[in-house]
Amino acid sequence: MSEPVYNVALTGNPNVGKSTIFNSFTGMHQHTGNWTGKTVENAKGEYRFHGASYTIIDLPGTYSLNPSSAEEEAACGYIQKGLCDVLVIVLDAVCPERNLRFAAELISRSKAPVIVCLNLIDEAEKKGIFIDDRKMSEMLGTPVVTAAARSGRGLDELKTQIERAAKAGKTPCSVCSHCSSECCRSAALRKASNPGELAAGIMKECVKKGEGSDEFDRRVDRVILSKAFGIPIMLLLMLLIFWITIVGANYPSQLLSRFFSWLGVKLRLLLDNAGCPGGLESALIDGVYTTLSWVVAVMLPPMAIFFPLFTLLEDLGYLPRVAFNLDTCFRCAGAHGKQSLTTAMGFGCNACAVTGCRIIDSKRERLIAILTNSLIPCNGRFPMIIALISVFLCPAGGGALSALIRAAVLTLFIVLSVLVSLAASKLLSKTVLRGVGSSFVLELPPYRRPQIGRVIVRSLFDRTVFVLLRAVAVAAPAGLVIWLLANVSVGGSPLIEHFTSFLDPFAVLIGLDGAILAAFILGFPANEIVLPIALMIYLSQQTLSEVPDLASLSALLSLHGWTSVTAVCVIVFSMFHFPCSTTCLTIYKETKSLRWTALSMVLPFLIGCVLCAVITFINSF
Amino acid sequence: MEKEEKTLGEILPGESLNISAVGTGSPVWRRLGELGFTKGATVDKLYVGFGGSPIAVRVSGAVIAVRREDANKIKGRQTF
Repeated sequence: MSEPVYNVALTGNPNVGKSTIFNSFTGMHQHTGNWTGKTVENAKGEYRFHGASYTIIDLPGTYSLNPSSAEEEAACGYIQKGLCDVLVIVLDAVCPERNLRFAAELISRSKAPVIVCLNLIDEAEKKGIFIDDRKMSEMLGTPVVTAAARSGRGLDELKTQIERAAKAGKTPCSVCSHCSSECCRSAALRKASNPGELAAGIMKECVKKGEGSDEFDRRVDRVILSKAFGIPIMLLLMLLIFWITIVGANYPSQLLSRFFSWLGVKLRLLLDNAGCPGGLESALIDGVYTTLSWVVAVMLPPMAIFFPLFTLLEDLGYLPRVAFNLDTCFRCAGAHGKQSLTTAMGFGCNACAVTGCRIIDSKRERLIAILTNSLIPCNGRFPMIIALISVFLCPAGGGALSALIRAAVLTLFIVLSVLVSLAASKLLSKTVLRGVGSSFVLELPPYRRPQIGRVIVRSLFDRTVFVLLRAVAVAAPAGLVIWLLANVSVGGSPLIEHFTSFLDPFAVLIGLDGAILAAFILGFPANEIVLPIALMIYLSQQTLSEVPDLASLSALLSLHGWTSVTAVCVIVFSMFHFPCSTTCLTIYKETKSLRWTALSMVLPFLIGCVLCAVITFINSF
Repeated sequence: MEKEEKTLGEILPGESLNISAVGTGSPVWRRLGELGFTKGATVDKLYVGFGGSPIAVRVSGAVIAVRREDANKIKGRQTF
């Protein structure tokens, strides 16, 4: 006999903790973050409880059963068709009024049994909000489980109630054990003629708010959102994050470099002793191994540090404040205020940001956000930019001050990229994507203390695994391909030379050289392999004898004619060129149009070429 | 205490409004209604951005930011 399988759906207002509950039930790692609109796709997972299997689906948050966007429509459709065995409505105990109205509406309309989960009860208690959940349960006619999902509190009770509802096939009565759920529910609804009144009634009788319960948040916001301090604080935070990334990545990078060069020697010996033919050994070591070790040693540490820091900021609830401060800016550029959020996401990963553009409801403004997002340098490009700044644009030295200067220069480049993305948005809104701006409604959620330990460990681990996997899947094969191109000759010279000399005339016009441009083109699969590929091309006539660190990088590049201007052009081109393959695929998936995907590749490329050409031109004086 | 009607855009941060009328015609008003901007509700104006926009308001226990044009369509009696 087969085990029963029940379908559970998680619904509720945005940003109430549905994804947190989902994660702890299923052990999956849906991204959570303290701002509304974080979850844009349905997530499905499974868990087992007392011998039964449960499929749980995490629906994007909705404010009401009148959907205003495609995501809300999908969520509402799911709820109203009664496609689940149990519906769990998650409420934010800190914001009971609005959440209750939604819950009351849902309870009256849901065909499936309902369980109400009052989440963030710990936050509510800290803010002096006390809720009588038993009375609330009586008035709503459904069980009410209080929970603090982040700490796991109340989750077992929730699973128990879900089980009761699933097995009974109807909403369990939590007031009296002998009456059917119908009697309590209809009693509650008889008291109020509409959900609004029921919600107001519950607020009056069950919720006690202390005075000034959001005092701390308001005091912080008064500074963060002030016209004088808002944007400077934002720039300072960016500077701080970059500084920590640069300083923090330094030592691990050195360690990894040393480890890989030691390992490289051992591997060569091993292959020699095994009688490996010279060609194959070179292909494996100079090709695959070099690229792999470069990506891991130089690219991994900054990425592994930046991402957790960014996640902490997200969890804190800071991002909507950024959207508030920059809304006017983005609106002048013809874009939607929420584009500031997708821009912020772009710093992490452009592909994720493109998916995240779903938070912008209007199709026109969503397209603008999607098309300009790859003008924002993602995590994968930071390490190269940082390395070039360190080698060519900043005074040498390993001290904290020198790291601060590098962080400041990086911040300047980033500000430039945001300005360029605004200019590009304006261009698009005046040419191919003309139209009227849509309205802007943004919720500023309460600040939540990020679980620093958990976020850092989880994010660090996830990021490291991700980069390592990408290195193996993308960088290693790419290294092999480059080696082949460099060692297979046609007509007297290696294939790679044909390629680079073909690109050279154009590349010189924009301050680069054939090898760099070839590296960008061959680096299409993933941005973090661009620098390793360029190095490989330069090294292709030589054997690897140096440790991949900054000093040898400097020597190698200068040998091939690099100057500070070259470095600036490469940095600019790195920020403004066609998006990586993953991003392009995601753009196609989101827009379902080859035309827009093509534009998304051509637009940044043209911008990069033009800017680099201008820099080169100015420099020639 | 003045009994004349003011808009959300007109009052100063720190002041409150008891809503008597909201805007119509655009889908944003349904969303704002769901968020708590309804007749009879009291909203507290909190912060204002550059050039008077956006405007952050405490409503229904949460903090919501709207643009100035929309705020100017929310009318009510000022309460203190």
